[in-house]
Amino acid sequence: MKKIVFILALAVSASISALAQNNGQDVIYIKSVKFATPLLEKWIAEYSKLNPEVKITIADKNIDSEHIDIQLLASDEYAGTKFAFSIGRYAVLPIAGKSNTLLGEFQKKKLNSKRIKELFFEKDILDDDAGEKDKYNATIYSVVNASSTANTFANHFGYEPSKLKGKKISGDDIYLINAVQKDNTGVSFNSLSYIYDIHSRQLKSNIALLPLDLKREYSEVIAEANLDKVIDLLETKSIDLIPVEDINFVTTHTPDAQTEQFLQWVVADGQAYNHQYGFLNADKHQLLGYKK
Amino acid sequence: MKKSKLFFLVVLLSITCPIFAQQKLAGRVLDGITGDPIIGASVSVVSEKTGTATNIDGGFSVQAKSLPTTLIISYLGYRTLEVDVYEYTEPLEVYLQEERNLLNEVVVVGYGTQKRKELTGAVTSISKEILAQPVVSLDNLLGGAVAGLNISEGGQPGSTFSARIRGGNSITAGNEPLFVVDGVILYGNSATNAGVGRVSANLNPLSSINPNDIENIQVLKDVSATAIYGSRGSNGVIIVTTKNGRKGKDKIDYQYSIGWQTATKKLELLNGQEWAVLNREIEGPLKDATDIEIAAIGKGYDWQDEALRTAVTQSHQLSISGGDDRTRYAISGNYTDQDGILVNTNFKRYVGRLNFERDVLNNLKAILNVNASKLKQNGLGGYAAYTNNLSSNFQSVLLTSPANPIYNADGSYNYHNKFEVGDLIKGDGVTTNAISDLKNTTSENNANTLLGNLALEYKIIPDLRLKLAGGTNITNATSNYYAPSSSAGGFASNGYASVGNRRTDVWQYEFTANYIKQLNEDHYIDALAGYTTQNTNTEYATSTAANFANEQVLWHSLQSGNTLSSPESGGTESILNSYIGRINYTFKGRYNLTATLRADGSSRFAPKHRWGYFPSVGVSWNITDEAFLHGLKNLNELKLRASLGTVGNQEIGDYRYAATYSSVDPNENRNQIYAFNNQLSTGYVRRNAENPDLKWEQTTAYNVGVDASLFNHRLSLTADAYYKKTTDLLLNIPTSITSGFSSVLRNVGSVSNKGLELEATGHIIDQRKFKWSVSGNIAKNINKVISLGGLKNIGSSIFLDRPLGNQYYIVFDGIVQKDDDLTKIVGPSWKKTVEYGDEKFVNQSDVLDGEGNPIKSVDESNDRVHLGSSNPDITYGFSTTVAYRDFSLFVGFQGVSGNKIYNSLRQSLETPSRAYNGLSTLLDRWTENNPSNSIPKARVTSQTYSTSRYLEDGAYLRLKNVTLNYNVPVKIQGAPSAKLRLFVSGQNLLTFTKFTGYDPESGGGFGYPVAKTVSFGVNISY
Repeated sequence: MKKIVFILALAVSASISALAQNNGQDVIYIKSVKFATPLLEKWIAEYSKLNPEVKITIADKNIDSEHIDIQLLASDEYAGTKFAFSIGRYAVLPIAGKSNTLLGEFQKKKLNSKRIKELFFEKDILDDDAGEKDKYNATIYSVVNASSTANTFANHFGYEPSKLKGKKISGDDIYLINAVQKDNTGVSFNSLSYIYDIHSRQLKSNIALLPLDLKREYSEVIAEANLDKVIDLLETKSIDLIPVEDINFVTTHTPDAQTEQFLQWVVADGQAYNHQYGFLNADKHQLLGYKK
Repeated sequence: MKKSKLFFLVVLLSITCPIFAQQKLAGRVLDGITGDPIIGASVSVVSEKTGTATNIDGGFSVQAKSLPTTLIISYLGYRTLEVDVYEYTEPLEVYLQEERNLLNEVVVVGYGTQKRKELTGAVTSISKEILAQPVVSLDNLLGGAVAGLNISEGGQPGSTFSARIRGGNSITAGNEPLFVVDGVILYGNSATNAGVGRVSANLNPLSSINPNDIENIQVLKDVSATAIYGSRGSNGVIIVTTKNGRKGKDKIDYQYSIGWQTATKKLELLNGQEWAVLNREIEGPLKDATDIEIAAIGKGYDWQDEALRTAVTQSHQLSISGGDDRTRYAISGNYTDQDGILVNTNFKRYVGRLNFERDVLNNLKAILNVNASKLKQNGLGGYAAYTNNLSSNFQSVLLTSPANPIYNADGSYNYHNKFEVGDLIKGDGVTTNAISDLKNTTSENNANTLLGNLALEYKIIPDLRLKLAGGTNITNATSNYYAPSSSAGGFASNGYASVGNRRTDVWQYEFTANYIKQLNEDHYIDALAGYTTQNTNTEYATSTAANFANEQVLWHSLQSGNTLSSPESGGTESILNSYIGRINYTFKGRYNLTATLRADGSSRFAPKHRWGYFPSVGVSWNITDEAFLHGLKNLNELKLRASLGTVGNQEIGDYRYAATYSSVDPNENRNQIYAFNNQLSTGYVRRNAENPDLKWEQTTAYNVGVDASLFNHRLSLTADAYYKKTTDLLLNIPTSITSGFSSVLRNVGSVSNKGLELEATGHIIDQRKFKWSVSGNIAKNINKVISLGGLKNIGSSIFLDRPLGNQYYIVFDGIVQKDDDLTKIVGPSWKKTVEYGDEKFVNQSDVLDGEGNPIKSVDESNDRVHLGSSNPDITYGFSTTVAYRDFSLFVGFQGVSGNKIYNSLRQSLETPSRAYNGLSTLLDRWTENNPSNSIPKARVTSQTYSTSRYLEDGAYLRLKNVTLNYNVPVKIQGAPSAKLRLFVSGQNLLTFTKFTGYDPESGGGFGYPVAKTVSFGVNISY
């Protein structure tokens, strides 16, 4: 009996000391939006090879916000932060399951701005391009979390994310992929990093892109469903129907020397991994310095 | 031993593992438009019996056994949302979209609630934007808010108001709608009237309700909705429900406001010099004054200005509310101190409220609502009837000569009005002073009220709910009057004091059973049956004394008066026993039926007519649920309604069917005294003829209506058409002189009302940071007396085939000019030959005298004509709300048209008097050099007619309420959820009207002027 108590006490004290160690300030804690975490992990891994003495950890929810050194955000809402760097961009495309019964209809009438608004958002009668009610009979899936690409998608088309129709999901945007795969009327949107298999560079199985009403040369590139070609297109052309947004490193305080070195490495060298993980490189102008 | 350790470990793990497997899910629920937290929203985990309600920040935390799972989030007025939770990494932010669908709104109806979609009656809800206005009394919220509801408010703070829903139905009985507060039926205005005749202000019993406590107000207009109130439903019903707490964190709310009131209008009266010229012209006290003496008077003294003031009003409001899984509560307190715009007038209110609900058992709920208040109103004092025909000290203020100083040089009141020629001279040149009267006369109403309801709700089975409720409305009212010997009220009697008190106890008990069940996919039923009884007891006493040697005691020591009047006391009791039944049935969610029957037994009627039966049937059809209307892109909802039924009116007073007797004071009524053994004795006299056949006034009503919701519920429309006929009107009909009485009360007449109503609300812009909505309503009502039991008219305002409030006057036809032929102008009966500058009246017909010769004069018996009605044909209101980021602005208008107001104030002030002042319009009086056609030559005459000269268009459009709110975006240290709101508000700021009296809403007499108010406030909530 005493042994059991001892073992339990040991386990508890070990976990407490481990937690205490993690909270030490010699570790750089980075909190990241989920869909950019694979890229961040890659940056950390590569930087650690060069600087093994620096410990960089992706913060989980148990880490107090006051210990977070850097946040990787998927939007430009960095009010109140000290510094902000754009270190890449991501694009959001509308998707459906490959067996979606509405794909034929979308193929006939490709989505332009008006139809995207009709399809995804609650209507406002003052909007010129708002039209008939729910003619698509589609079920829209979106994520309620603040770090979701829903904010980017909604804001791009002039809406608050709360105006998105349909069913809500809590969690990572990856679950939207599952949702539309299961629902024959399900429609959603997601970042390239989740839509494409970053290894095969092709669309994930059972996923289809909703056809957009674009110039033919753009449509052809998108239709090829090749991640690198899509990234290349979006880095060189600005396409109204495809939201592209920065991912930003932001800090709430002046970074220490170690943190700043890591940030500079990401800006200078980490960009090389953006495409591999489905992200666009940062806009050159924004790479040059602090946003604020 | 080892086995036992192992066992212990297994048990420990088996206990702890499920705990660790539980997943906490936290987040916030927010309004999809404003981003404001939604407090009290229900958050539950599907397939698990766990759930919670959001707290004051909209926050929630629930436990799920495992992920993925689904949360269901719902809140009244919002669309229910499902959220599939796959993983939990950060708190959820869930936005609920407002359920703007009018038909899904839940409304409070008599003895229950009902979805608007299932309603068959005409019920209008006061919008939450209007309810949020910072006003003193709930009647301030009703004006212009509902199609067909016409509100007329006076200016006296805390005073009663007039409300008419779809016109007046009755001549003798009451026309006010029934007010029901938290299930308790309120007694009429008389509860706060303690019977002191000279206290002219009336204290509004509804002022005991703090508007900040009100959750919603429903106005029930048609018979399908009001029939459940049977004998009290004919004038419509207004149901007030107060706020209760919600499950979640305790919420504290404090609000302070301070405002300044001024008269909406000041009358243009003659100044000193102008009055002096007129006085010389009509040979008054200044008949010999020279121009130099008159010029020396200058502008004189502005008595009106001295009486009016900028009055301060302030209010403190504190409320605390909250609840847990089993209990909801709300406690609030309010202190209001509203000075009147006339000096020495005021209204004070102290009110506390407790609303409490406890789920005693899973199927037993206890509900307690208590509202206790102390009300105090200082109003205008009335005069004795003989006092120069003045009705109040305010009238005296307006009439006092502007050449007469208000104060002496030493600042004391001037009690020597050398221009006074009437009853207000005491001797030695001592007169009254109207400002002193106003300031030193006490005329107050006090009331302590208790309004409470205790109910137990027991669910025998999930679908069957029994309710036992006991409610009370107790009002202890006192009125105190003291007019010092220096005042017009106490001038002749060397001080005059009067006190009165009235205690009104109303007790009501309700026993109801309510069965609500969705029987299957097609059939839904909501059946209500019950018994209620209401007992009303009043006791009153008044006493008066005069001739006080010591005036310091005021009304506190009547026995100090050397002249004591006989005290008077009395009491009444009435009982109303009722059986109620109602079935709401819905088939396939689109065909609705409401059948209601109420049987009322009232002690107010003769035994053989004691019971009245009031049935109604209503149907409605949700057409948009029909297949043939699917696919209409802009029509979201369309419903047709129709109802018919009968309701009654028992507001006739007590004992009206019976012969009543009263004592005769041998010292006062010498015609009815009795002498026994040469001693005068008190006798009893029969006062009226009994009528054992007296029965209910009955209103049979028909209503058709349509509700529509368009453009994704952004535009909602409601239209109604109605016809109602009230029969068996109680009228005093002439009877045989052999009965000993000239008339007897009988059920003989009938009145009809028919009209159209339209209400519309549009949410024009509906974005998170910018909202704009507009509402409007308009109603037309045509009222007509269709029977008077064989009579053609009653008095001079009620005529067959004419509306109630009929205006019946001689037609004014301008002024006799120099080029008129005097022989061809028919003069009034007292001056058959007119002079230049006299008023001309239209001689409608020549009546023959006994010898067959035409009588050439205008008189009231033969030459009056019907010139409209005091009741408006059209009532309307519109409002708009604009919200941008942290600012919101509400603007509400109220208006009427098609009514005529007899401006007796102008008649009085345009009639030249040797002692009293007049309106500046008299400057345009006819002279040989000023051939005015509106104001006659200045002459003093004691005879006059009421003519169309003083009948004015009563139409007006008023900016009733405007409020600008600013939610200050600050975070308070240590209280992050605290909110700070600042507001500036105005009432009655603008009035557009042709009416020349003080205010078209309060009428044309010398009543208390209406005030406009500007106030500032702060609201802190935590």
